[in-house]
Amino acid sequence: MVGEEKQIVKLVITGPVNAGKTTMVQNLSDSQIAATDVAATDSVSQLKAMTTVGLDFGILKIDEHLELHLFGTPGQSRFNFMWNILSKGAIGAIFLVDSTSDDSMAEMKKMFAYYAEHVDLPVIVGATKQDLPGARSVDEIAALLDLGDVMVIPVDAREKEGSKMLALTLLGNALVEAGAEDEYDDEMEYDDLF
Amino acid sequence: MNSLVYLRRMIINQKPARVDYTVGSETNSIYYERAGFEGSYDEVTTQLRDIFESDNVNVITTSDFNPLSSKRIFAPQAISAALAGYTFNAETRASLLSFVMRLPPLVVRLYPMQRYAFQDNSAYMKMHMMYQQNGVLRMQNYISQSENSRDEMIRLRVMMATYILGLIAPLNSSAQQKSIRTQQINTQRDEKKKSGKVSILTRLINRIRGL
Repeated sequence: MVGEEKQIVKLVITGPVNAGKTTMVQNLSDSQIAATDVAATDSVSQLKAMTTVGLDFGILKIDEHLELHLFGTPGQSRFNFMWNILSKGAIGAIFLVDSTSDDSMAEMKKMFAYYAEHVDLPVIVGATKQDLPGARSVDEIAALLDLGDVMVIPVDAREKEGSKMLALTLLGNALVEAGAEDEYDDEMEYDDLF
Repeated sequence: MNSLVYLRRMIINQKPARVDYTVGSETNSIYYERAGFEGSYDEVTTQLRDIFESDNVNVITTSDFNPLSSKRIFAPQAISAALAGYTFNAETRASLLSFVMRLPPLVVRLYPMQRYAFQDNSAYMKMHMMYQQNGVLRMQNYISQSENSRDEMIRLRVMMATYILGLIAPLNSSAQQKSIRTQQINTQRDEKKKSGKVSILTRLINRIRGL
């Protein structure tokens, strides 16, 4: 008997350099991730020693029939073209932005403008490094980046719990959208609720 | 959100019962008798909030109920108090939304919740109006029409209150009698459930909650 085909859905974690994307992919994966970090050479080298040039990749096994594949993108807007591939089969996108960095905000603005124009997926923004001096508030970030209705949530990307909460908020939003779009499945079991 | 199911069944049964629930490593109990929860207003409020968020709830129907206190908080008042200003984190929100997605088309009963200081009574009235206009309420629509995250929280509280107190029920009550099904039908249904977007998102949420 041929085994049932495994379903794969994608979650994209994106945003400017040094915002915590690789760490968040690690936090949400249960497998060893493939990281494509190399020594930074350009202005990025002033921020950190290593940076992502390809994709960070991790897998979270949901059950026997479903896997979540996590993709962390490079943090430069010149890689925006990757959205054409990444958005296929994706359930949503998490943008991370460094709350303390004006450069991060400027890059984020470019990335988000491209995203808003070309991609139609549930999205949420995580504002990292909120504990550092000079960090902008989430309201300031939302206004500065012209995010409209998109939620901005403070997050410590180093903490697993913060990564979980951000992902759960995004998935909750996606669930509300999906519930409103889908017709009620009359065959769905609810006897145990009443 | 199994705790909501247990509370609803207990309240609708109207029989003396004890709710055992675990928060962290601590297990506590609260008694229910004569349509009320035993304890002071503050005690019952705190305990009900703990029950909402507990993953381990058990209701024991007991005939030899020995009250420790004569204080009782009538169920609608107790639920109203527990939900007054109740806020929740992303994890609880995701669980509540998963629960909402499982609810079938509903009927909504009108009940004078304002008498029991239900803070979200106006949202409940709007929900009832929505039901009256359409002849059915789809809770999924009601929640998705929230104007902002604060409004969504209010609507989720209304869902919790009306569900627990039995003020919402399946429109097609005959659907409740569908318990006898053939194995073939069950298999087909399982396949259908697995492929739906709501099902996928619900499974992702459950898995990430457990990380």
